[in-house]
Amino acid sequence: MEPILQLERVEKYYGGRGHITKAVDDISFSVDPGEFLGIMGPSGSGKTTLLNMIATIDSVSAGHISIDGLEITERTEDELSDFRKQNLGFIFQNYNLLDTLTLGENISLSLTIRDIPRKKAKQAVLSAARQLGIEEILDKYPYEVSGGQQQRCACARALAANPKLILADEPTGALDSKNARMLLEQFLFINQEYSTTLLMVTHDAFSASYCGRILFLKDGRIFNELIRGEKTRRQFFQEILDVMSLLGGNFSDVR
Amino acid sequence: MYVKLCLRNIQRSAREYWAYGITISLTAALVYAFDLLITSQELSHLSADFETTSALLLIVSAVVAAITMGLVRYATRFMMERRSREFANYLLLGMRKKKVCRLFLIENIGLGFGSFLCGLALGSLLYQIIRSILLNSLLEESYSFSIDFSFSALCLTFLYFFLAYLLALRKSRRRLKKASIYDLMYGGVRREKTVLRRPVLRFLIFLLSFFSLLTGLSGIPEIYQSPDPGLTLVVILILLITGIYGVHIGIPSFLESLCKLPFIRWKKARLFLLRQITSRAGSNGAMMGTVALLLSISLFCFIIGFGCRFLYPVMEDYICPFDILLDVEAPQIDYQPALQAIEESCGIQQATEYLLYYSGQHAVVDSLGESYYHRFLSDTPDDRCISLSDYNRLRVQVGLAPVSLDNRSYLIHTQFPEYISILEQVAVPITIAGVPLQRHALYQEGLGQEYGNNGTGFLLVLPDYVCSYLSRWSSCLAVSTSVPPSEELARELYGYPYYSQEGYSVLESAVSLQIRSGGDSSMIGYLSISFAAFYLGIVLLLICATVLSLQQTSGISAQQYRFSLLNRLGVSESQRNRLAFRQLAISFFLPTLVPLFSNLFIFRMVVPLGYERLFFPIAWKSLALTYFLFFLIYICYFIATYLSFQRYIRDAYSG
Repeated sequence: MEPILQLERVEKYYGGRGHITKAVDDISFSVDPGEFLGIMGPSGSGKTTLLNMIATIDSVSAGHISIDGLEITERTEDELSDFRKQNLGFIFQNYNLLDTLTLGENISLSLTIRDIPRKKAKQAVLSAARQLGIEEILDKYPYEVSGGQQQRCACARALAANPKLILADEPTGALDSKNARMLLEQFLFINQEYSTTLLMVTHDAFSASYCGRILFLKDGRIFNELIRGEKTRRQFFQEILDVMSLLGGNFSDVR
Repeated sequence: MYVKLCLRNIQRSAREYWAYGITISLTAALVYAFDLLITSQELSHLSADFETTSALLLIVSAVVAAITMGLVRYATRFMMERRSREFANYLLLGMRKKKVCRLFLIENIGLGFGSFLCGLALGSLLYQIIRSILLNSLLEESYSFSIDFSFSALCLTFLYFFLAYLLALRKSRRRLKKASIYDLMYGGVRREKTVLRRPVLRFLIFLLSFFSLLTGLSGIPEIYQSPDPGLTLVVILILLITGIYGVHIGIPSFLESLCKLPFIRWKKARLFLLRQITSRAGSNGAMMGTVALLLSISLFCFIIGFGCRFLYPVMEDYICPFDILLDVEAPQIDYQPALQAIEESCGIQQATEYLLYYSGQHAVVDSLGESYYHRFLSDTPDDRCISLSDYNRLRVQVGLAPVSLDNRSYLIHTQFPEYISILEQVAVPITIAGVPLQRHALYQEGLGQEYGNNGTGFLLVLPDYVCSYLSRWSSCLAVSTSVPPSEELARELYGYPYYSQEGYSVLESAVSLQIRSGGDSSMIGYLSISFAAFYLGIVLLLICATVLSLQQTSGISAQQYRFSLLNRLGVSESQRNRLAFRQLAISFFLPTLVPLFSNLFIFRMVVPLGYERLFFPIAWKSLALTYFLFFLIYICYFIATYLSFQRYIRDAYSG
């Protein structure tokens, strides 16, 4: 099976003459279609930088990134824009919803941008909202609903257009444990039900335990890899904690 | 969907950037009102000098359009920074950058167009006010409403704003096009850039700039007296501008040094307050300097505006108190034909025929020395005189109270400041026709002496009986007319054959005529300058207040975070409100200190040198009105900004 995401010797530097920071240092990995991959690491390990490069938000300093066979590191801005529209969905820690639109409109905007016909878009919005349990609040504005509901709306927005790859950056970071669990259950559901490929950056072991595979980053490099396989989530969670303790206890938010 | 998004964004922008919208409306109102004035057929017929007025107002409108462009550019850059994450969101959703740019431009144009339309409506009303002032001043007509619409005025106003927006938004569009998603998403978390990092250097610049400012201000009175006033003015302007900028760039260091003082550091929330201000002032020093400079110009424009409105008409009365002042060097002239001509042309309210005499001595001329001979080189020195009764008739004619003299006294009347300053030091006793006289008083009201009439720069006023012994020097006529005399009358009077009572005609060279025929021209001139000055001054003030208002509401999420932290630390709501008020008050009024202080010196230039004693009471009145108008507008913006700020902060607690 062709991997949906492939990174080859990707590097990212910041800074100038005399003072260079290597945020990502020679990382290579691939992600198969339908996989739920987690990227874990302490603050400053380069996980968000890595995610930004995959999301085409940031450029690579060296190396190649391919999504669904398409090399994205040397594309023009318009090509990247079209690529994002067709292939990627995003979920961020701070939801990134537009405050002038209702939850329903936020979801449908992602479809309108893709020129999906109105009727079809409406159906897609309702379907996504139903899946995430926010059908009743589609007419409300973001400031009128809770954080969990906002994040579910962001999730529905990412999902509605049926992208090849959903990228999530600390999606449970701003949620309480109940809402975090609900959201992660939804991730698992859409991953299993629709074979949607998910790549989630997190520093939370509990969130990471929902993934099928985890890459651990330290100082911009892959430190370790864990594959869940047939293990239960609880067992997988324990394994994650063990790896985190190997990282020298830099993690402060074990749940 | 895009339309919905666009309209909702315009609504939100109108709510959040109300100060900007109001300023654009008010500016459009002013521009449209003055464009209506420029294109008014009714008003252009009032005076031949109206073309000059129109040209002046056109120039000011062009300047206003350029300043508006600057404001639009500033505001759109502001909005872009605040909405950068939102734009990143659009790009992440797959919107092309071109579309995002277009969306942003349409929103700005929509906001601007809405403000512009409101401005047009307001401008029509404002024009009515300006029109009524003009008609009342020139024709003493009472107010009458008339619906005025001028397509050319509308087009002109639209053209100004179109160009301003086009140039400003082009630059914004380019900036947005260049920005990457990464910059849009994460650019806001970067620290404020400070102009000068090292506090010691900032403090040094503050001190040097302060001295530069003081030097510039103290040099203002020297402009008139310097050998090269132009060069002196340029040097002083350079000192003032560098002083204003340097002081504001250096203010953060000064305030930071205050933070170290125990009674600041360890007292209540003063440290929080000062840090709130210095954290912004660091990067905004140059912006504050620009605001301070524009406020200085605004205040100066108000001073000019009020000066022209109140001061210069009074000066005109001082220099030319009579509508017609005729002086013929002959012992007695028959003025009846001239009076008839004047009556037919413009009606006579009051006319005084009087005589001036030779005194036969020149003690006062001698005391004046070089000051006299500098003006009256060819004259045979003689202290010219007038009788007390004639003098009092002239005084009454110009609305002054008559004076009294005893039989052994004389008084001097002069309008020349340099004569006054000498004569105040020296009271020369004189003997005229064998009568010794002591000086009783010195008067300097306007009596038409500015251009050589009524004496040779001064007149001795003697008791009537003394004058009866003296030879006559000239025969004079002072007339106050019902309507301003025309230029044709002036030509007629000048070329008139004046006959003495003995029947011989007087040479034209012996006739001196002073006519206040340019009533309309002068009034139009003063009103034009006054309107143009107010126009520019108000626009500058509105723009400065808008910029400061935008500054205070920028980074509002950071402000909300800080104040909500105070809430959690146990600071009560009333204390938080007080802190917010003080923070805003300091930020708003700090840039006004230098302009308000500087204008106390600059306004001195409005009064011509030597006429301070006469005109300072009016100048002070102009200054008081200037400050009143300034604070009226400024405080309105401050209060509105404070109420918005308070609402945002309160939302943070409830959120």
